[in-house]
Formats: sequence, C-alpha cells, structure tokens
Amino acid sequence: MKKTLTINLSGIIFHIDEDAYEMLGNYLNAIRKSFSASEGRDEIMTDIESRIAEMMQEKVGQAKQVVTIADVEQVINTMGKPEEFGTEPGELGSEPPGDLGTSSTDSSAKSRRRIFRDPDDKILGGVCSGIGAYVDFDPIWIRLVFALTFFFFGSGFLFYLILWMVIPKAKTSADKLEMRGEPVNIDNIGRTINEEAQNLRKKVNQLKNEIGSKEYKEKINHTTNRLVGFLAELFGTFFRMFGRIIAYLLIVTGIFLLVFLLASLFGVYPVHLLELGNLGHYSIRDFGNLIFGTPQLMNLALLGGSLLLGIPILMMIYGGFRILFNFQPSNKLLNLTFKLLWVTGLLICIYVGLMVSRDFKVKVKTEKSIVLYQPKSNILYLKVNTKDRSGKFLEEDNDETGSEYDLIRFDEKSITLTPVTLNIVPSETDSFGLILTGTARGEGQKDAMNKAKRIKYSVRQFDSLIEFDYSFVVQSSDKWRGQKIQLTLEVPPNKIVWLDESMKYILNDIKNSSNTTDEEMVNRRWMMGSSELSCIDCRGLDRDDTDDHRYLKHRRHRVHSRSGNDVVKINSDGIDMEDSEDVVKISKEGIRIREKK
Amino acid sequence: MRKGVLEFCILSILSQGDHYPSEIIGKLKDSKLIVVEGTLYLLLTRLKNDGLLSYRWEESTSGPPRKYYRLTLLGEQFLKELGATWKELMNAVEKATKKPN
Repeated sequence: MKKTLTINLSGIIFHIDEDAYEMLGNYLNAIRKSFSASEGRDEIMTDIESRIAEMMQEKVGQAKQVVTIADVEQVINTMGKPEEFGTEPGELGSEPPGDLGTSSTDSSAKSRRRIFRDPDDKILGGVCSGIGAYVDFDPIWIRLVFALTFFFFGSGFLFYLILWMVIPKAKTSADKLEMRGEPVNIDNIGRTINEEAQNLRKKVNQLKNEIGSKEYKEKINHTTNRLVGFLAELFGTFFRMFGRIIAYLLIVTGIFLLVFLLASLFGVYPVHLLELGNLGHYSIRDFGNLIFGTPQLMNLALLGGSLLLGIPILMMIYGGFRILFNFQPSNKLLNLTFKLLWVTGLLICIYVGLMVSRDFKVKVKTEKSIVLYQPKSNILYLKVNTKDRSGKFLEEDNDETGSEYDLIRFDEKSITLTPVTLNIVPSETDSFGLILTGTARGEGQKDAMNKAKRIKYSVRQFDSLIEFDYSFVVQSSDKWRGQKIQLTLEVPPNKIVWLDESMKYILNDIKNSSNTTDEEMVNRRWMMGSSELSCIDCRGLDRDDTDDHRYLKHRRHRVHSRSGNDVVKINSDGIDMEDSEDVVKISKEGIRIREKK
Repeated sequence: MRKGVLEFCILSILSQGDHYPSEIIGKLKDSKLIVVEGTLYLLLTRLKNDGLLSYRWEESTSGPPRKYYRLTLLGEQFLKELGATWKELMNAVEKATKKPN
C-alpha cells in the first residue's frame, strides 16, 4: 500500500504515489536550477510541465488511476536529464588537432593559407585580425602599428582602406579555416560550424537589424561590383562610430551642464561658465535676493529654472545612453514625465516672470538741482572718484580689456550699483549748474518714487574741482529696481571744463563740435559754445592722429647736408654737427662736444 | 554542431506549417536527430526569444492546451540563411572528404 498525493500539473489533476511525487519534484527542481532566469526559465518550465502532463495523461487511463514511480522514470527518460539538454559539451568529443591533419602535412597546410578579412573579430573592417591570422600573430599588435602609422600623415589609414578594399572577407567556414591555415577537413569544419552555432544569438541580432534593409542587402549580394559593398560597409562603420561619438559628447556635455546647473543653483559659491562683465563673486542666490521680492518667489524661480534647464539636460544624457546602448524605443512614461516636468517649469517661470514684472511696472524719475560754487577762473575741473565707497579702486591699468570693476556689489544692508552717467549741456544762465536725476522702478508710483528718493549718491566740490562718485548705493530692502543716476552739468558759454582721464567711466555721449568720442575727450579742455563744447587744446590733433602717429612722422625726418667741412646729420640716433674744428653730437645719452685735432 | 543542425531542422519543420512541440518531437525522433525531449523545449524558447518563432495557444481535447509554434518573418529569413550555410557546409564536406585518395 502506498500513500498518494494529488498534484496539479499544467492545470490537470493527477494522483501520484508519494515516492513518484518526490522523484518528479526533484527532477523539475534540477531542470529549474540548470537555467538562468534570463534564458526564459519560467517559460521552459511551463512548457516542460505541460509536456509531462501530456505524457502522464497517456499513461493514466480508465483502469490505472495513479501515476507510479515507473511512469515518472519513463517520463524522465524521454524528457532527458537537464545536463543532456544543452548539446554543446562533449558533443563531438574534444578532438585532438593532429588527428587527421598530421604534423607532416602542417607545412603544406600553411602554404595553403590565404589572406582574408576576419568578420568575427573586427574593429573596422577586420583587416588587422585577418593579417594577424595570416602571419599567426596577435592582431592587437598589428592594430597598434596601424594606429601609430595613422599619425604619419594618415598613411596608415589610407593603407588600411586600400587593404580593406583589396582583401576579401572570409565568408564561408572553409574561408575561415584557410585564413587560419588549418586544413579543410570534416573535424575542423565541424568545429567551425560549432563555433558559429554558438554565435547564433549574435547573428540573429545582426539579422534583426538588417532585415529592415532587406532589399538593399539583396542588391549588394547580387551586384558583382564589390566596391559598392565595400563603400556600404565603410559608411555603415563610420556611421556607427559617428553615432557613438555623438552619444559620448551628449553624455559628457550633459553631465557637465548638469553639474554646473546644480552647483550654481544650490552652491554657496559662484560658478562662472562664461564671464558676463565682472559680476563679482556672488552666487545665483545672492543675485536672486536683489531681484525677487520674497525668498518664496526666489525659491519658486529656482525650481522653475532648474526644471526648464535641467529637463533638457537630463534628456540629452538619456538620449546619449540610448544611442550608446541601443535602448528600445524610448520609454513613454519617462517621456511623458519629462514633458510634464518641463511644462511645469515653464509655467512656474512665466508666473515668476509676471510677479517680478509687477515690481518693475512703474518708472519714476526724481530731479534735484545741486548748487555749485562758481570758480573764480572760468574753468571747472571734473574727475571721477576712482576709490568707491568700499575702498576698492577702479582699476585704470586695464584700459585695453575694458574697465575692470564690479558692476554690482552688495552686502546685507546696502547694494552698490551703477550706472552713473554724465551729460554736459550749455547753461541758460551764466553760472555752472548740476542736475541730478535718479530713476527707479516699482509696483506703483509711490513705491517707485520712494525707491528713487532713497538712492544715495554724492558729488563733492573742492574749489574748482568737482569729484563724482562712480556708483551709488541703495538699501538692501529696496532691491534692484532699475535704479540709475543721470547727471547733467550745465556750462555757461565761453566757460571751460577740463576732463580728467577718470571721466571716461561716466561720460555719456557728450555733444561737441569735433565729434570726438567720449574716450578721447578726456585729458583735454573744452569750451562751451552756443550749443556744444569745442576743444581748445586739441590743436594739430586729427581725430585719428594720436600721439604715437605724430611721433612716428617726426622720426621720419632725416637731414644730411654737407658743404666743405661742415656736415649736419639728423636721424633717429640724434643730431651730428661738425665743421673743420669741432664735432657736436646730441643723442639720447646727452650732448657731446669734441675738438678735432 | 548538432545544435545548429537541430535549429535548422526545427525551423524547416515549422516552415511547412504550424506545429506544437510533441509533433516536432515526433518528426525529429523519426529521423533520430533528438535524444531527449527537454532539448527541444530549450531550443524553442530560445528561438522564440530571438524573435524567430511565435506561438498561439490552442485548446486540446485530450490534455493541457497546446502551444502551436510558427515561423516569423525574421525566422523565414534566418532559415534561408541557414539553408545557404548548410549547402555550403555540404559542399565543403564533400570537398574535404574527397581529398584523401
């Protein structure tokens, strides 16, 4: 008497003896263990179980109702043990290589060796591995040589292309054997085919890619012109490499941009990717504080900005990986998420923009007349304080590279801002006057007016010298609201202003009779006419003729005259004069007088 | 080597019409190409995962539902290639076996 169990195999109920059950269970477990999940284990298991159910159903009939251990044994025998499934190991036995092709035929085998391109081991066209097989050498060294000769004017590359064109590809198994110089016999062909069978999956994948261009491929197969095939292969290879390069570029740039974005958004220190003027050493948050009315608004702006910029960067990286690893058509859910996030970012940015623009709605100007002490002489000297409030110098040495000063500077209490501009106009009275116009923007008339009034700016007068500040200061709480200072200096007719070099920082398109630019107006005196200034110490100075030019002109003057014993020579070395008694030489070293003997 | 041939045979059998595994086993057993049945299931799954085969379920009167396999377009294409390789192999074998005389 035996105990029986009831099992469900593929949806069919069987009564099975306990020992038979155990045997079947062990068998199924053994099969399960011999596959990995990636091979489709579950599917194979269901198929096998359903086949076993089928077989057992045949055995169990009306009379016999229980599956016995003998039945299970029979089933296992038909189905085979898991180690018998895989057909690779020990299939042909490990044939010793000298079985048929003996050592004596080895040399003759070698003489039959032919050169082919190896399609199974290739980087570009398989030329190097083919050569490697031909000369029995590791192809990596041959590749290295080709790579190095590439640097000799690309000669290696050209040579490679020619070889690629000339050497045929090893298409058949026999070709491959001949390529390696192995005798073409059954054993070897069997081995090659076996190797090929192992590459089956690879081949299938290739085929999948190629099936799209089936017609195209057939065309190549049928055409006798090998050049076409060669070119197609060449372009295919380059296209693939090009795609890879693009993919790497996308990934690297994307990651760089992402790091930059994160660092500048959340970092305490500023990150300068490109220098837009000299904005000093402040982070994005510092600047945000200047513009956004509330910290909440700023955080919202940062969020919106990161989404708006970050999403495309993320997609760029993702795209790069997709090209590189040949992902399936992009994930719909991911795409949708990206799109939604980006649109959210855009909406946030629009909202923040609207909120901020509200703070800039109204523009108000306030005007203030400053009474100037009238100098006794008719001349007023103008200069800019090159030392601003924080004691920092405007660096005047860096004229060529543009003025190197901070456009903006701030601390917890105050913000130092530019621009300050100065215009010079004729005065309607006979005294000098200065009008100071402050501009600011705000939510409303009153708000803007208050902000304009709170701008702190100072001009100092020392007798006939007027010193302007280069920048002005506003309170931190006022934020940056487009504040600026415009100065208007009124000069009565026939009175003179002298412009110091430093004035170039604030002069703003001054009207003058010679149409001299602001930069060239400095270091000169200008007299007010009826409507505009004209220069009074620019004599002999064409607008294009700078000091250097004039100097060079003079250097070209050369004199060499001689009459009897008297000689006068003037050239770049200096002046030489001599008569019958003395020689006088004037040069950089000084004056030398010498008596002739 | 036999595995490649087995795959070739399976694809060839399926190219003549849809079959379920037991039928394929029967045909292969007739030609003594298969020793144990488990091999077939492994191969079928592999070929299906490679996209060479597809299947449909069909109810059976005498047991569990059966999986009927058929060739996909890709499978047909691949079969053609395998056929070409096979011919080539036969030629090569012929050439090689003729030589030593």
